[in-house]
Amino acid sequence: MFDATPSDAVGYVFSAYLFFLLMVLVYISILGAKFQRINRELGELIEELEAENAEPDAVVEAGVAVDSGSNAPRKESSV
Amino acid sequence: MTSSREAFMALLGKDLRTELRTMRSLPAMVLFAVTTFIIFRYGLDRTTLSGSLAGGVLWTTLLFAGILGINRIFVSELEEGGFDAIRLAPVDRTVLFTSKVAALFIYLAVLQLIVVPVFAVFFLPDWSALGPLVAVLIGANLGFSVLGTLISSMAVNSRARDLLVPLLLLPLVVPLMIAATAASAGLFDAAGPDYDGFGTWLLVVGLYDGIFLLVGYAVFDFLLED
Amino acid sequence: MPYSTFSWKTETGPGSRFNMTGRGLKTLSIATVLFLMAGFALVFLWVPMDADQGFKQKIFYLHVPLAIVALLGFIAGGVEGYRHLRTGDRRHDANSYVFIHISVTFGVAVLVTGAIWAKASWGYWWVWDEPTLVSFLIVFLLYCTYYPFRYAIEDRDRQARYASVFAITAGAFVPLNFMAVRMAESVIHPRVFATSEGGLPDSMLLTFLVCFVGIGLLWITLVKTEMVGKKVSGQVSYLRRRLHDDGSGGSVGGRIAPSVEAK
Repeated sequence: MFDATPSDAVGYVFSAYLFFLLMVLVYISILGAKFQRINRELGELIEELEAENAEPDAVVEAGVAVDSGSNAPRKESSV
Repeated sequence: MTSSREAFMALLGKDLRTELRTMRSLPAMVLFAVTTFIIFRYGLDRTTLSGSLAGGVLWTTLLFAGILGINRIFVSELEEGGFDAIRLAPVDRTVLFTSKVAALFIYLAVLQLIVVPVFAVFFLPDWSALGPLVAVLIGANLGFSVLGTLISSMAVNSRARDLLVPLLLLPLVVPLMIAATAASAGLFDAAGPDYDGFGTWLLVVGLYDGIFLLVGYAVFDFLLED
Repeated sequence: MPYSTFSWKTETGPGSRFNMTGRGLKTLSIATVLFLMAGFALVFLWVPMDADQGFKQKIFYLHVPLAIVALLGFIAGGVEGYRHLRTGDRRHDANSYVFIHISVTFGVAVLVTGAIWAKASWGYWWVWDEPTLVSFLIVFLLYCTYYPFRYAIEDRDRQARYASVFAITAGAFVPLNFMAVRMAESVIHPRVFATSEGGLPDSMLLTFLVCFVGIGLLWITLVKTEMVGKKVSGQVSYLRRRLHDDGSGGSVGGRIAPSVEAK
């Protein structure tokens, strides 16, 4: 039977445990990235929703006051 | 309402007649197998084979030749509406499963009827192993047909089915191949057939057949639903 | 706020239970970390050196629990596939997918730690006369085909059904394969569980059990986290569909992975 020297054995054992820990870390960071993406998409949806809710008012306002600027009235109507 | 038995015979007869008329699978399988023997002869650089080497060459060749046939077993059903017809017909759907298993079993048996003698002529100095080998061939064919039918029906509705069938099938038949090669290795022994462990391995083949017959029978219904 | 009146919670069934899952997840992950830390501390600081193998035997406490948990996960995936076919509930298919996915990931760790152990014990990175490792490789290869298989089927109902059939077939295959590979191996190697003294010493057994529970909890935590992700991404695509009314569903969740969606 092949016998690794004690120092060799220590290296093998530690590399095995290290590999395991690294893998868990990588997996968790992948999961984290996935959740971040979901979070971002959710943010986008909320923004869209706000914009959509704001739009009808914005159209009316645009009809009343054409020169009143683009952003400011929109913000007010969404609140 | 047609009885299951009649439906089974009708479906099996249809498959065999179609194969007999079109010769779509079998000749290709035979050619493939014989050519593979020649490749092994030069790849291994042997003119005679014995023991586990003989078993390995025979079973590897039969396995890959079989996959050629398995790939095609459901294609005609898909292309020409056989699946829809079965769904409409007032018969138990597992009849399609059993009839396909039987058809595949017969294809493989015909393949081996031609190819195993060729193998013996090419590589075996002594033909006394061929008698008991029949038992292994029958057992392995059954397991191979059951799994092949199951996998083929799973893959036929997907893109890349030609790729999927071998990909899914190969790991699944590893235990069957282990048992079949181990059972035949003793038979091909250079000093004449050796029956040590032959019965045990045959039992493993039988167990494998039984388990996957049950699994296939239980799940096949869900593969046809639409 | 305009969107606070948007009542997706009442319309998506699983949505209301989301918070509960989140809280359970926190306890679960703390327990996982505690058990793993305790287990590894026992391995390196407390448990006595193995008489035959010496220091390298310590890989056992990582490799074997990982393998057992992965295999149990494969079998559980088959059971969930069966339940999906029985009930037609897509959540069981999602479970089956996640179980298999996490177990395949664990499988990579099993094979790598196994190879390292083989190198330390026998001097080779791979030994064919170690039946458990060989059969694990075969099982691992089989489950790797689960992904391309799912990917190749476009219709979502059919994909879920076929994947369940795969999970059941492969689940039945696992024990059969182990039996065949073990039988093919005539040489019987000394196993840690069956040393010459006949069994594992108490200290080793305790360490093994703590590590096993830790790895098992890790598996459960990852499964739960994945499920929460699926649930949330399903809800996001539901929101998107409601918002756009175009039925495109969005890209979250990918094409292979089943997402848990409420109708």
